[in-house]
Amino acid sequence: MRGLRSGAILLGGVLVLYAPARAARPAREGGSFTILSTLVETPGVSTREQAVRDRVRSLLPSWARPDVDAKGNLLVAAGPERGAKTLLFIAHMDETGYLVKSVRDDGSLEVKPLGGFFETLYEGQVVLVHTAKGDVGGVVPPRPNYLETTAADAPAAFGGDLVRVDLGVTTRPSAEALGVAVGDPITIPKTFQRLYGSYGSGRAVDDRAGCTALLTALRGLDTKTLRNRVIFAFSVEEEIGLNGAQALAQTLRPDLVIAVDTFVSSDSPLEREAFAHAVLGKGPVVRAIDSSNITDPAIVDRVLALARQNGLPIQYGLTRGGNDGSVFPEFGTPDLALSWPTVHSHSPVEVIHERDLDALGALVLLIAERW
Amino acid sequence: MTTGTRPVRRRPLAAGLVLLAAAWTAAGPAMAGQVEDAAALVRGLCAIGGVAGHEGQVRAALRKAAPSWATFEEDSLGNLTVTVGSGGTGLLLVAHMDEPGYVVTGITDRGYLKLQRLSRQPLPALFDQFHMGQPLLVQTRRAAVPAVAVVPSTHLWRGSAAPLNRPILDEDLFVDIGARTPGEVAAAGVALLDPVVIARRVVDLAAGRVAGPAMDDRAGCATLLRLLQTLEPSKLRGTLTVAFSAQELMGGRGAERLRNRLHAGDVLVIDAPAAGRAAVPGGGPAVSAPGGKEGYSQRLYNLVAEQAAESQIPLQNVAFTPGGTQAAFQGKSQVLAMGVPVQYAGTPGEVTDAHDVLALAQLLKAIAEAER
Repeated sequence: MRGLRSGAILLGGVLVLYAPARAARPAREGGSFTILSTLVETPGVSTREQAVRDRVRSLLPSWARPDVDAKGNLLVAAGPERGAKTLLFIAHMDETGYLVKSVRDDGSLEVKPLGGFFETLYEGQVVLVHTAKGDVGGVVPPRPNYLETTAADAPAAFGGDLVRVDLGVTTRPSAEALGVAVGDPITIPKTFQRLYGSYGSGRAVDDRAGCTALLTALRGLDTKTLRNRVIFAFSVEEEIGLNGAQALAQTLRPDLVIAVDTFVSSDSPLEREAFAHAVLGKGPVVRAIDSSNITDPAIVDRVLALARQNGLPIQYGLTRGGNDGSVFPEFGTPDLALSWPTVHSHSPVEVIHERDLDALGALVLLIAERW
Repeated sequence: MTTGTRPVRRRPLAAGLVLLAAAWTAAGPAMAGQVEDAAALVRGLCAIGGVAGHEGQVRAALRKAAPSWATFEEDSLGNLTVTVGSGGTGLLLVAHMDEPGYVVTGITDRGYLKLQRLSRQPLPALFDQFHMGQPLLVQTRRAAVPAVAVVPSTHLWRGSAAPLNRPILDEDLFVDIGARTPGEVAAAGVALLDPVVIARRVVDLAAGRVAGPAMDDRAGCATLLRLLQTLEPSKLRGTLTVAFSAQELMGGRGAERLRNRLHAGDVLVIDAPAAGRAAVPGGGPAVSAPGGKEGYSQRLYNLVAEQAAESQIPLQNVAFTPGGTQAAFQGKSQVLAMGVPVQYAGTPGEVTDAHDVLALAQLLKAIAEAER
């Protein structure tokens, strides 16, 4: 066999061959997408965030001394123990996906969805089961009548118990011999793609972009001059109920919590612009109101002013979804949600603009140093 | 060796898989290496996009992977052929290179691409849904440009499937390459009529199976490549032409060109069986039943069955989609359809088995070396 393998990347039994595909504009070296692509390509379905946690740890500045709490949240603290204020920044490490619920007698897998997403996005697509022995390839079989015209009458009638994963084996022992076990996480093969015009796309940009912003800020932090105590938390289980943040709220009493997470935007030809319209590429977004929180307008104004005074583009608005910080107000801590605008949320092709992410990292740093 | 009697049809056999597996297990590491080689051919070919009329990258990959003795001819429609041997009733083996996909038919004021399917063959009702919300590739004249097919956001629909719960057609797709004006689209090198395919995500399943897009008919192309790699030209009986055809999905246009260009008495069309039929990956090559409306050749069927029996290769009798390549040769040549079984046909996760590729290549070699 000659020739055909060249240029292909074989990762854990996955041939990812986008080459010679390329964004029509050269990638910018050293931008936020360098970190983001690494994080996006690391699987971390809710409750199975270990690989992402390890990746985040490897990307921390050398001065950082990370702690991992009992829930699995990773925390990095800096600044005086008794600073003027204590600020808690949170971004979540987990992503939506599936877990193996059971191995059937015919060797296929029953699965359980974690987080909210259109399950049709997995129908007929290839996936990876991330086992203790390594990645195992699979396919989500389409609905039985997918070839019939009647299937198109209700294309979203797929999901729940209909979803299986076919590993190419026909018995339970064969599946188990591959290393597949109940509880193993399942994702699509994860690749971050740079698009034209400084856009990028991938699965779990939500909230690896938030993690990227925190890492960017940490790397830029001058810890010797900090007035405030700043804590950077990389949380678990946001997508299934803000569970990691709930654990943090039991032990931390910051003066302000800043949740860094997606602003789901209607900047798309399939959405209605009357709601949640923040434009990709026009800067970070203060998520002033969402399904879980209303930020104090005075805090919103202060962030907008800080950004503008420092030449950062900024937007603000209202969207749907919850954020990790929203579990803190009941304990007396106000919640500020900071975001980048995205489209196609919880799909394999969440889109982000690099300029928004660069500016978001800079804004997090500004708040840490000047709030 | 041909006879006029009709052999007992072999039914899809679960045992076939066991027999094959047992035989290959007994053969040990050498066979495992061959299975991996066949799987690598399949992976490599499926990793390339090629809609009808735009098969250039597939052609290039085939040329690169073929043995050095193979001299290719490329005709005006883009069919690629290798002819070897001489005399006798010519045998033509033909697998198609093209896959279902789209071409760019419009560019919106906001820089999104609009698409139209490029296929005259029926596709699954959910074909367009399988592309919505997935990464795509626009194959421009300069390079493949990454793109995404726009999909509604879960959050903005409060988890309701409402926006997707209606028939989704090609005209519903908006494709984002990251451009926000028609000028940026042009600057990215994207133009009207550029082909668009789903991004290539190919994964290995267990036991020699491979999943990804366009197994129909890259598995057939891989089979013919494997045949070329193992062929011993001096052992051939008569003339053998191996053809990789273009534009099969546009009604067998490439095959029609081959029909008029070549003189083959016997034609074996190497294609995936009709979607939804009972051919099982790993159960052995699929073969069409002789007779019927399609008029498949009883003589060729007997030859195939006999050679398969001699080589202990199980066959699966299944239906093939009528029309296309087969129809192009009917009336002029004896025709039989064969192929590598493909599961979940028409999805981006089509499944095929490298054992079947190996077995079919071995069977075709035996047929090419047999008296016809």
